Amino acid sequence: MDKIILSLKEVHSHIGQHHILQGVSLNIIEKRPTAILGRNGAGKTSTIRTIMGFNPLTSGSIEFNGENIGGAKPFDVARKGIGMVPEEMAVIRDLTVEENFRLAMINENEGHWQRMDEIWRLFPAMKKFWKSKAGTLSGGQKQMLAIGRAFVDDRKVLLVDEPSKGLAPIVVDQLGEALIHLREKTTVILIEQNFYLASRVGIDYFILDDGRTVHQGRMADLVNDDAIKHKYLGIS
Amino acid sequence: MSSQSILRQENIKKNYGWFIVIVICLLPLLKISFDNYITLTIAGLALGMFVFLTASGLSVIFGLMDVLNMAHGAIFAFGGYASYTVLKRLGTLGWVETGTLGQSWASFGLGILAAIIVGVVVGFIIERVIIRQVYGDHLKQILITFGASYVMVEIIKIIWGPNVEPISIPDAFGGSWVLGNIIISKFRIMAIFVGVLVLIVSQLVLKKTKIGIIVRAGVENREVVQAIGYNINKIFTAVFLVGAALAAIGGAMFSYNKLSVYPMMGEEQFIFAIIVVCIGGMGSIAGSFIGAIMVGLAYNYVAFLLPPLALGIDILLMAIILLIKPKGMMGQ
Repeated sequence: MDKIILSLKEVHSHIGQHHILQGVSLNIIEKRPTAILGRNGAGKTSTIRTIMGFNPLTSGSIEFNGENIGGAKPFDVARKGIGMVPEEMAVIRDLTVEENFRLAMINENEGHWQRMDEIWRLFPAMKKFWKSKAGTLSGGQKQMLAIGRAFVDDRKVLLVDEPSKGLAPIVVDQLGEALIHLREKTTVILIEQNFYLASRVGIDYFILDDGRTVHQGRMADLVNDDAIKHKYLGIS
Repeated sequence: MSSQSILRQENIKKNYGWFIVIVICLLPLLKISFDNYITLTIAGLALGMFVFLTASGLSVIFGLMDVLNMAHGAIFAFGGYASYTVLKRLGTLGWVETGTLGQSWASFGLGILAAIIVGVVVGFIIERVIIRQVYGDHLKQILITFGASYVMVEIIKIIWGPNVEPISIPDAFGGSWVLGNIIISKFRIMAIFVGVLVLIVSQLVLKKTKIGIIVRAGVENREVVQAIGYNINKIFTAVFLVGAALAAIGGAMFSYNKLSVYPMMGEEQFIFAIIVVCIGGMGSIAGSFIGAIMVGLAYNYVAFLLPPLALGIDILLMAIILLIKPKGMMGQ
């Protein structure tokens, strides 16, 4: 039976006077990659920031593995097993690639280095530039570092925010391959405007619009549903 | 342009802080005799180290916590008074002025230890009671910590009195070495040693340890550090306390050098610390070190040649560096 690993019910969030999430509901099945889609300003990034505890939860509930994490501090959410790859390749530029990874190895152990071997296989550039400052990497390499860093600790869920942003198609393809590989190890939740990448990685999808969940289903169905794609994503 | 010349230019840009230090070091030789030059240089380096101890904490606190702590100078003064109290007590036991070499070292160490303890306690109270309430609001931080510094100075006057109090430093560190016409104060050499030691230890901790990696990452991007799973508030508090302890050590060393303590000593030194942080760049201990050497040397040379312009030269130096590099020499 499918196990729901992350569940949001009627989540509302305010920043100042702005009512940014107005009823987001998601049920994420364990190890089933899920794409969260929507136009600019639909509330995709706000949703994962609210899950992580960076944005306030005004009402509704967020449960991870059956445990209420709504309103928890970001470090508590992370320690429970939710990893986040923020938008804009948020690597620590002044640290080397090695230091970026070691930063993410909480209570460093053998398991971290086994996952590191896997990351090196997925992203050979991470081994090549191991001692280089992260700020000197290309855009694609920074994104590889950000994804690898979120995966190097044992995460049950990986929230990946727009990894394709500003990257060349060939690099997006490479990231897509890596995310497809990672979806066998953890539950990948991908926020994307690039429908091609989202449809390659995702099995389930949710569409947000104006801070609400407006549609959900199987990605295979959405790929052939031009009306929904046109209505909510502006593509056909 | 060849790749070699590009590399050379990059190296010049990277090391221009040290070029300025060397220029500041050598320029006074045109006007000052060699004997005076050496004495002034050592005094300038020692002054630089006192300022470095204050500025490095201030810089990291701002870099990591985005907090402008105007009460940092008052912590410096508390450090000075804590050492003064311990040395006065040990003086009555005969450990300070007439003690053995071991008693001298013990007096020096206990004085510094007292400064660290008082600095950490005062820093903890300031962080918990005052700064926690105003995270993220620079204007409120400036106003409330500025107010707190005045309250702290008044507390010093209530506890220790408003007057300048003489302080005796342990016998082993008093006096000077005389080499021909050059006089070298023993304590100033000790101060330079302590400053360099603090720099080396802090760099080793920052570069070679996990906690150092977390702090450096926090300076650059606090959100990422939290998303990875670190409690940034605990790290903030720890860094604040280390910064307060460094300021208090600076205050103790400064009072040993001045042979006195007085309530406004922290406020006077705070001006230098702010200049150093602006020159070195917020969040950079190495930047603070270079900035402190510049400020200490420039101040001492100009104080000898044109005394009224002594503070002005440091402000001018800061203005020039900020015009060239608005975030300071090593600011992110």
